[in-house]
Amino acid sequence: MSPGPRPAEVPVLSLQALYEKSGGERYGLTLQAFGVVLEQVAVKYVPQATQQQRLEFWRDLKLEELALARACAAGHDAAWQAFLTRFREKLYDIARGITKEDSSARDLADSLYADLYGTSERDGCRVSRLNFYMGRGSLEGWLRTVLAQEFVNRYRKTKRLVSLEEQAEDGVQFSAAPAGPVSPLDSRLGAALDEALGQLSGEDRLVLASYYLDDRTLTEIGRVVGVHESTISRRLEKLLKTLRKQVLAGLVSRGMNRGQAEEALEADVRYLQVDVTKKLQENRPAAFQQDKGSD
Amino acid sequence: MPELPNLLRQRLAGTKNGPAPVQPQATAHPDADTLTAYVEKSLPATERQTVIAHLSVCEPCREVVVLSQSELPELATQTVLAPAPVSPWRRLLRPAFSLAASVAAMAIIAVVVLRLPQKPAQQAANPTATEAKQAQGTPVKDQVAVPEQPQAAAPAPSANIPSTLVARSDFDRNAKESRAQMKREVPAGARTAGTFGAASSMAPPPPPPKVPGLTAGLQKKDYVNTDFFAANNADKVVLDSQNRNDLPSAPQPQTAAAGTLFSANTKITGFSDIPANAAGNSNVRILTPNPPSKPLSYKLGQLASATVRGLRLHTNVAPALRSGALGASTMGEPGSFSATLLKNQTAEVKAAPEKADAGSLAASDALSPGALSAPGFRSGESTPASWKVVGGKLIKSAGQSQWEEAYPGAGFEFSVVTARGNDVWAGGSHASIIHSRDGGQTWETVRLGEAATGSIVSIMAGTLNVQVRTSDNQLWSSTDAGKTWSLRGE
Repeated sequence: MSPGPRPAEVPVLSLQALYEKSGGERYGLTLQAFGVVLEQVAVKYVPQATQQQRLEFWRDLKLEELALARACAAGHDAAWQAFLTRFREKLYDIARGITKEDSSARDLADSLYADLYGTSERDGCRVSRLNFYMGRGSLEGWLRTVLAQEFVNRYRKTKRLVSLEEQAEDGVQFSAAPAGPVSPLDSRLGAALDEALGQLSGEDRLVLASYYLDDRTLTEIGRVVGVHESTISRRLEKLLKTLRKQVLAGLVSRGMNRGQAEEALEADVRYLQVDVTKKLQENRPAAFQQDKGSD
Repeated sequence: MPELPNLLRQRLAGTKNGPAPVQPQATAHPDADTLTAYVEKSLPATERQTVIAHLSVCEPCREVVVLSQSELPELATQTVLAPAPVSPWRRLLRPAFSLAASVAAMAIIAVVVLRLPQKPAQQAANPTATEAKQAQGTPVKDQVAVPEQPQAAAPAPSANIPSTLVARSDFDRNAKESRAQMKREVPAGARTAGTFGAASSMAPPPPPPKVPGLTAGLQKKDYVNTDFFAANNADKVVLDSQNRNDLPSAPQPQTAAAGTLFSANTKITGFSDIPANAAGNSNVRILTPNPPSKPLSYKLGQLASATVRGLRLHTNVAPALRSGALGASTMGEPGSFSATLLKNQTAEVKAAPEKADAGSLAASDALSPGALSAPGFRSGESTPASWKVVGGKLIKSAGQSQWEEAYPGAGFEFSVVTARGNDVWAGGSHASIIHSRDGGQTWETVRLGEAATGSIVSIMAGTLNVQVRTSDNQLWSSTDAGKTWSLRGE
């Protein structure tokens, strides 16, 4: 277990109540160790909060699951017994739901089990991934997220290892001649569109990116955003109308008349020089490495 | 506007020549706890907006969030604690109630539709019933119009129909219709011989008044017992020109006792039960006007009335049919009215006397004591006598409640009796056995042998093989119906 702040900073009465609420005694977790865990969570998420704000923050944590996870990380048998009883089969089910395939799901879940148990050591102590669970969400949800992160990392690693046959099929062996100079798209169109996109809220951009970049369904987007799919449909339609108006207005403000602005919008998008694959890979570095103890 | 989404894709993903202006500064990836809290909607609003802003520019995190969504969580958490209150009017719209209402409506419509065609049939049957009531004292005259034979449509002497052949008044309405009032084809110059009662006395019938034809009331296949008319030879009843010379001789009327030939348990089957192939017989003429379609309720009524009719006796018709002939009917069932019956009934045919209280089973001659004792009375067959040994005496009962000693004066005590039809074996003390082949009227003493000792404890008798066991455990057997015996073992 990584060292944390001193538990003396936590009021004793409140700490005792939180400890009893967590039931950490069942798993062999002491009050002092539990106080260290709480202080560690507070430092990470609410470092500038007052003591009262910390208490309110701690009350909202999943204290029982936090105690279980930290007791498992400390190597208490009772905690591992409870953990395996509650999550062993569930973890395989979650992995199967993510990978949609049984063998890879087993592989994914087993690798996570190894990380949860802690196969590596640091300073003579076993490093368990459960030490990174902070109790902000449910332990099952955290396991689900960690499995998803692991799956995304593996998927991306695998995608980068393309076989020579696949490269031949893709035409790499006979690469095409370098493209000739193309007439550049009017920069005013890109600027107007960027300006319009910049005025959107983060949730609207999330909806647009999920729909147009990730090709997610309306149901998936609705679940990510937390609204009904019909709301997403209406929102998409409204966003497109708004964007068009704003782009046209931006083009007009940049010296085009109405006809020219309409013509610029109908420009062939192939003139836009983009490399989506490269751009997506640029966003990837250091993804989800913090929870693996690399931080 | 198809072009704008394409532009959006380009600008959202970024450009090759530099970072996309719309891409905000990439922030650190939220940790798994934060993403879990975001998915579970437990993040504070400010922190949630931060995560959303990151998700809008970070495709891997979007993918993680999508993959970490639980499988339809809302379905697992839905619990119905109590049904929502439903207004009474909405209950009327429930499928079960609608179905019940539809069935009830169909039943009402079916009843109305089924009863409508029945009313004309009842109206058509009522005059016939009235005539039948009048026929109790007065013969009914019937004029028959036969569509198939034009000569019958000509003005002709009407047939004098015996009232006994008309549906009886004590029959219910459906029974009257199902009986299908007999129609007779009467050629020109021919007339019937009046009632059967008159036939027995050979009295000349009264002049037949013309009665409106009953063909309108025809509901079933009508059969004509031509022998009846042939029997009244003096009346020169000619029923069919082809069979005119083939008519058998008139049946000889019998005495009043002949009426007792009718069996009490004989079922008189209505004419409607005559099979269609009966038309091939020259003695049976079938007038088959197309029966109007009957509603289902009417047919059910007919079935019920036919059942009732099977339990009743039509005493005025019954004497004309010998029970034995009925039993030997080619129809294979007693009571079936067949051509064989008509051909063989000449000796037994007897016109029933006209009775004012005809129709009453108790008043019928068929149930008179003489009828019951008649040899041809089927139900008069004596039931097998019951035998038993009581107090060392052999007693029997001939189907009545009175018991009588069957073998008085025996010098031994009976212990066992075995009866097989009229073949009766009884045994008792001192290995005594008696045997009767005529149901106990005559007895013969059976001697097992000199070595036989003890009382007879069991007798197993077949047609020829008989085995007897004594109380001394002797087993005597005979293979010639008791003439010789052999000791099989002890």
